[in-house]
Amino acid sequence: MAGRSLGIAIVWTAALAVTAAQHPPAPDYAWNLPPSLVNVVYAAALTWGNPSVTHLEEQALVPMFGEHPIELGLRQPGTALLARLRAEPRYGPLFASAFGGAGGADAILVEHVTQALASFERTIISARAPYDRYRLDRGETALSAAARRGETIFFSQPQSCFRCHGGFNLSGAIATEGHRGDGDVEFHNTGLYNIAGALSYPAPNTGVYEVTRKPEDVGTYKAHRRGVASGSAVRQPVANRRVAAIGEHRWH
Amino acid sequence: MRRAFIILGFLAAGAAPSWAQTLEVGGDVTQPLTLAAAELKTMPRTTVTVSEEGRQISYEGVLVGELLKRAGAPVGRDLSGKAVASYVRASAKDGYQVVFSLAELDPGFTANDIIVADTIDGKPLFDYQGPLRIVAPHDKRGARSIRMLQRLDVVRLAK
Repeated sequence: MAGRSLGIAIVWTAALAVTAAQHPPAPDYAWNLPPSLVNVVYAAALTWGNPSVTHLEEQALVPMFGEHPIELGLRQPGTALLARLRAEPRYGPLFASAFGGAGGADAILVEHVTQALASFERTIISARAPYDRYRLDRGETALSAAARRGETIFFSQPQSCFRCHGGFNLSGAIATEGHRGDGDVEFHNTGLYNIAGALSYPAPNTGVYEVTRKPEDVGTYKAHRRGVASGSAVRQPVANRRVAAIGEHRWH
Repeated sequence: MRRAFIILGFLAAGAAPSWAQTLEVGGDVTQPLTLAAAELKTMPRTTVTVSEEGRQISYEGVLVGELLKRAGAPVGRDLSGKAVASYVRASAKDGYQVVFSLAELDPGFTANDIIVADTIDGKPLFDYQGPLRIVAPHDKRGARSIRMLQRLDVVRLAK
């Protein structure tokens, strides 16, 4: 719990809120909002389009030091970040409580920052959300009639939302302790891509292809989780949302 | 344009608001049936257990083979020769369809325990599942456990 408390402190202070004004995100990435953190502990993959990022500690490095796109604008090996944390008196005891030691600067390491953030993120769980009460407890009044009609549409063949947003977390394969995913983690192409031929979709938002460079991965993205449980907004890449405007949705 | 698409999508989804509460058993059978969901409660019941999302779920209903027998499909001793070249198409009210060979559904031929279920853990199916669904407990994947079941049609390829 000490790690969680430290993670909360780091998130809710200005320690990581840095140079957005100096490093505004590229316009092409403005749409690409981060997946929800709710139930992220069960996520078998953590980003929209990188199958290899499967641990929260590893993922936390992406917004800090990533350059594609630049998010927080920090630079490896994190000297500026650590200097900020070490300059804040209350962090010493928090790091010492979580990771031992006397609370000196030696305990304030990037590795410990990512571990603390991950510990906090793993506690963001939508337990006993209305949808959970409806599905697991058969709480017949937990969902409104309109929500239940929506669920039926969600799980119906014409819309086929559930084909990507499957499982209890509505995000496909899940990972739990000792169990990583139900088979391969799936990344989905909603049918917009390569319409004009292989590799025709314009860079830079090309999905898993950015990592694998396999033509078949152009435009494939992870289905991330539910707003139905927590009320949080779930945003899909704008290219997926464009499907609605075009009115064409091929599934296979 | 996007808004128009969404509205049209919901209108299409709502075009059949009175989704059937009955199960039709037809096709190449001698006694086509129209069964109210409640009628299944009066027939021999079978319970199967499957694993869903890491939990053991109990479904109860009637063997599909029992329904086919009542409809006069060639099952039991009649399921031989050319009749073995028959299949059953199961259709859902959302348009989804799957097929089983007739032999897969005949308890005198195989022990697949494929049922038309009307309860899950002792309660009615969820709205998005029912009121009736097929449960094929020995399938490795759930794709043929069709939800919102509306019709069973027997198709004989040879007579």
